[in-house]
Amino acid sequence: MTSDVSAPRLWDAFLTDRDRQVFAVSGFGARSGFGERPALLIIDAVHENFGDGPAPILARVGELQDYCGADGWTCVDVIERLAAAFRAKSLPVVYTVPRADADAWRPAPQGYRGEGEPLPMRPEQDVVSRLKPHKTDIIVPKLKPSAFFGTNLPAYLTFLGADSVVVVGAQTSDAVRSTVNDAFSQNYRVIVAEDACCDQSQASHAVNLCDIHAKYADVMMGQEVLDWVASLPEDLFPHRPGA
Amino acid sequence: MPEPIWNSFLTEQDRAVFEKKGMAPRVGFGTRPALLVIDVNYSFCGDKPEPLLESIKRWNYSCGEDSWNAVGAMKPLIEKARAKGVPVIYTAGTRRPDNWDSGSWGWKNTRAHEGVTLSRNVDGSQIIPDIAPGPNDVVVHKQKPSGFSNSIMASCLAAFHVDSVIVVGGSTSGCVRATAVDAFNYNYKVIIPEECCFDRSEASHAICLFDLDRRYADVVKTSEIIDHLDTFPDGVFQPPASDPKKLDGARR
Repeated sequence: MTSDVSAPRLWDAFLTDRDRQVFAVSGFGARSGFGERPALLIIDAVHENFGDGPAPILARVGELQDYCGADGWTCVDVIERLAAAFRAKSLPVVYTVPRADADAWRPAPQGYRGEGEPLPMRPEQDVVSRLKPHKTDIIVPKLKPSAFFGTNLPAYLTFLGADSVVVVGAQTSDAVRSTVNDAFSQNYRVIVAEDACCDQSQASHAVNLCDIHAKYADVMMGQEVLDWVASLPEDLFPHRPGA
Repeated sequence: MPEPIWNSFLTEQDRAVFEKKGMAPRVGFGTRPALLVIDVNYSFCGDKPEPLLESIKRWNYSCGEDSWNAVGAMKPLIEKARAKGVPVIYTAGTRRPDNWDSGSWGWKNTRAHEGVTLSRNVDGSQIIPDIAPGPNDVVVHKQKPSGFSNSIMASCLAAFHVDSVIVVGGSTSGCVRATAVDAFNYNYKVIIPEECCFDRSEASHAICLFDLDRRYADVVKTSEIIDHLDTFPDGVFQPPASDPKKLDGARR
């Protein structure tokens, strides 16, 4: 696979002149290429990140601390199309959702949140209604940013026989990036759909996509993923739920 | 207080959003830290201090002069940690000579094979001699960005009864970030001395420190950590002795 490092990218404006020169010669950013047996990972497409609709980010960030603004909803459109395309080809669709344990024993560096108080699943942790999981999809609850950390995901991917993952969702610099990093570390080929990921910070969104494309995954527009999925056979995953 | 290094890389909207959210709560120092020195080797620094664009011609992963400046900054921190008996844990890449186990590393970099095909004056995987591991330090071998990925890191930290990690080295956007995020995953407090980290990309360096500081860690000045370690009594964190007679009764 060749890499076209001269094509304009979302992150160009955030780099310094030296960065651009370094990336031009360092060999990073080559195309890793698609796998043959992909699973779609929809990361934390929940109310917490997206709210219940598009609004200017500054209008809501006070009450919804992790709100990604209107950008998030452009991304919901693309995720919706990708999920439909994966299901149409009987390819696995996996959702991660942030989990609070029943007794809210949720260790965090700042302390033990909600210690001693029963805390039900918060409504912010619900998947947004436009992206509700179908019966044949797989839900992976997680406590930490990466979909791989302390979850069944690695075992599921082995069982499915997946060799690659397409990662979308929120937020680019947090759960998306951690998941990409861990998928790379486990030798999966990784694709990230740029317009299907969002972040509260525009700079973090762009520069994390730059890092991800340089080192860990192929970052491309959702349409390119859709075109590729359309070319795949329909009988790849006999162990998918509902198959 | 000087502006954080990442401010000039943020957009106007970013600055407004994070002003409204307010600063993330501070993690704070733990009481039993370990110092993690991530991948400070010739491969990431080049074989000598020289401008990045020069160094990178021969060392494809080089971070140039910035890495050597970071080595200078981390040296007193490493010495302070040793003086206080705080465990110093290095990570180093490990690979079969035929590179079969490089796995995904070969996919995204057109120069990834140079470590195997070029004959070089020094071994890229060697830790920079200026800060070489001492007799009481630990070297954790790894194959992937995170120091925790299929390594003895987690069990090592448990053996030392560590509650917090100070992470230094390179690259900020690669192995340092991956290690810091995994330390967060394992519920360690994470402290990052800014001048002790380095990256080949200035934007990645700044924005990764921004992300780490707002989500996972405290990004601080190195002097702040040295001052803090100075408040520790000497030797209180002495790692478990290798002499079995010195181990506590329960573990014999």
